[in-house]
Amino acid sequence: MSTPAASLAEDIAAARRAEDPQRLLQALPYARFLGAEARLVEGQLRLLLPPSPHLVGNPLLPALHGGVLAALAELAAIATLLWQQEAFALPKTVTSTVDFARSAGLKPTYAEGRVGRLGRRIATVAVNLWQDSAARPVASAHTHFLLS
Amino acid sequence: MAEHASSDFPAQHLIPHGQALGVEFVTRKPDGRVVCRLPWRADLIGHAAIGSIFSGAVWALLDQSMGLACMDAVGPTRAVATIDLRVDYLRPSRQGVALIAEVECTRTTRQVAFARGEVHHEAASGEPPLALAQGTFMIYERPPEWLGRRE
Repeated sequence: MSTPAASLAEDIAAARRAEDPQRLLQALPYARFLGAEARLVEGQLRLLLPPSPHLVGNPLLPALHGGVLAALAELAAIATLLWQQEAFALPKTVTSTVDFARSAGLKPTYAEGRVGRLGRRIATVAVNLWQDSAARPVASAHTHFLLS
Repeated sequence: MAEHASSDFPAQHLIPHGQALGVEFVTRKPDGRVVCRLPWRADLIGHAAIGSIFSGAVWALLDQSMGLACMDAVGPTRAVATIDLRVDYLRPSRQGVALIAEVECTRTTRQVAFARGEVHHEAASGEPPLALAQGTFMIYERPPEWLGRRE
């Protein structure tokens, strides 16, 4: 394994050179655990989470676990900050609030972050999560990060 | 540490994502507080430079633990779904140390259950918590076809 601290900065630079944000996510073990993928859609970073049995919270519906959506939202927020080069080290999550709008089925889930307040120390990122249509979110998240 | 995964506790074994994470039900205290455990694992960390379990996994641990406490509070014919949940991450966790969530359902009304909880390192009495959480859960009637499938 390469030096971890050095490798994140290298991963960001390499991912940007290749215009491939997926390389960024591959540096984050939890993103690999979930199976999250990152793409650029009209210049905007978008995370995609393909459905998988290990993401289910309620198998009787079936529905994704709320913790899966929260983690996807945090990953989308972090990836957005790293991709836009607002942060060069892994931003530290300070608070994460997730509102659930409707049950999320076992199908592809998308997440896009929008950076709100961006200070020297604190960044605020709002994340929209949806499945069938961005206009019908399954959840929205409000996150604050410390930029170390 | 107390006994793990008491089989009489509802729903715990029906949550595939909780099992994938490795969340273990530890105990339900006499006052209704629920304790769950998340062992450290290399694939749950945010980045290798830090070694802390990713914040989103702590969130999932709290959501599941608080959901279980609320399910326990509303009784066997009803279930709950998260409306909203906020987690404050007070400090990063240490590499290699299991996390303990201790949560309670603070109140139930006809339609909503309220819960709060915290996470700390295993075997770290006296240390300040790693994370604090507060959430609300929608209560709904459990469809009859689910009733036979609780255990």
